[in-house]
Amino acid sequence: MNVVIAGFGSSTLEKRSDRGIAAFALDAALAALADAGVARDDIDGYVGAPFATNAGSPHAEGGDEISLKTLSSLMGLRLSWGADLYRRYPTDMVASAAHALQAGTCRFVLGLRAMYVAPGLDYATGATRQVFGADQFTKPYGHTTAGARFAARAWAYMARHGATRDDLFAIVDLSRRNAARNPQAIWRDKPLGREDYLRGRMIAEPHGLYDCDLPVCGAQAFVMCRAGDLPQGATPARVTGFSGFARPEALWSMSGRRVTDLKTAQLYDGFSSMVWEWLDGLGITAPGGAPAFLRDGHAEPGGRLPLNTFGGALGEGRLHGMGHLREAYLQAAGRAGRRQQAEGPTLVQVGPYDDSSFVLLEPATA
Amino acid sequence: MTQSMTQAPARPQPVPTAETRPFWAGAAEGALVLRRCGACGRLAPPLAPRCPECLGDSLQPETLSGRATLKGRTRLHLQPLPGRSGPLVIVEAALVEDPRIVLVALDESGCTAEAPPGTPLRLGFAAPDDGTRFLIVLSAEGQP
Ligand SMILES: [Zn+2]
Repeated sequence: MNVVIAGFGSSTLEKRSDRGIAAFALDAALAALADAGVARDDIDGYVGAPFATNAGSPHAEGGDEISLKTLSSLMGLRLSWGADLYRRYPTDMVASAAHALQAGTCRFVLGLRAMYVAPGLDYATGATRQVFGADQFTKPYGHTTAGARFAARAWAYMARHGATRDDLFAIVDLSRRNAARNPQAIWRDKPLGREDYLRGRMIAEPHGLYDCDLPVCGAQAFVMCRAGDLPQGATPARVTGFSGFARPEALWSMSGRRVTDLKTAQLYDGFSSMVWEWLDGLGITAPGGAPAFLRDGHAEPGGRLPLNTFGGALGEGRLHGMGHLREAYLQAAGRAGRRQQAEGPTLVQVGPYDDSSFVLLEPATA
Repeated sequence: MTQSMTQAPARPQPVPTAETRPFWAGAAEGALVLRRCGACGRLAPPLAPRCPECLGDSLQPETLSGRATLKGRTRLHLQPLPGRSGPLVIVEAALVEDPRIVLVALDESGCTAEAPPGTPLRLGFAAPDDGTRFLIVLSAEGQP
């Protein structure tokens, strides 16, 4: 694989906004182009993942979702290839862009993911008169609300392995402290003590308010190209592996790396307990060992495997894994500034326990 | 319990297809019905058009025992269901006939409050809510 991420861009992240989702999308896209040193007219590929995942989402084009069609029209893109990946993740966007670049279909791929908190939306309810498909067996029970299914799984994990809400707090605490070094994080100036954490109202037990990431208006975007096409001045990170969760071994066989080679990891944390899943799932920790790994400080900056060094979604805001990918790029490219950890293979995992994907990024000089 | 339905806000009502109709037809009779593969014997999850094991399409409805084990549990403090207040206890139950099939049910009685993961459960169906009977936990072994 001879493909790199050439640059990354972000919009501002805001709890609410009078500007629409397209404004955030274009801010991020233009920032990514500037960061990579690529002109708008050089972009001939595009990959997105526009699905809005809140229970009450209207799924309105240009409202809380933005597709290739709308974005390329608003940006004046002329694409030879582009795709929106339905209900997929930034990690899958990287894999798709890599495939298109390897095939020679295009030279510069713009990847973009935008999130939006639509005004007046009731996130909790999402009540509908009728339910179709899989919703028949979940929505009438409230199972699709507020991450109930992740909470149910966290409860079982905690009961099995003796983990407590203090172990969940350890994840939230790490996120808040890391977010303090991320200028755009929504919780950057908001440290959270244990008492305040425990006082937060319960959402879906064992998850309280602070175990849930905060929905935001915002977008992030990257530019990918073949290493030989890297624009002057751009700082690349190599894409050395990717895989789906059902075949994680493919990540290692593709990259020639092992889990022990990882220098940093950005693990999806839409709810705090999700961080445990792939620490155990990838064998970084023994089954049930993730809480102790965090408790013993191994996930801290400078620790054995620093986690979510940008604050995660719990610290930065709900960008559905785009923030994780951005941080992995910055770490691999040596551009993470005050957050910079040892340079080397960095893992990105996005998605829930039963549907995730992975990307491995590495410094270009390695 | 079920008074005039005219004003009562109802839970979301399933719109069945050929695959899920046996489940809801069984539910109306208070029976837990899934479909079993005639070729390899695997139990199919409610949405499956074919057997997920052998991909055969001879799935026959079968009434199950309603026995399951407690796989996951949460008390949801947001209230997504109309006409209710207070936390909702949502349970994920792995069927004894095939624990790969996990069904969601409400614990309306509080019988799972102290139950650890793996606790044997009995599943059944609640009184009709605007015509549909939804899964509930009838009892949890060793629990009051
Ligand atoms: Zn079969």
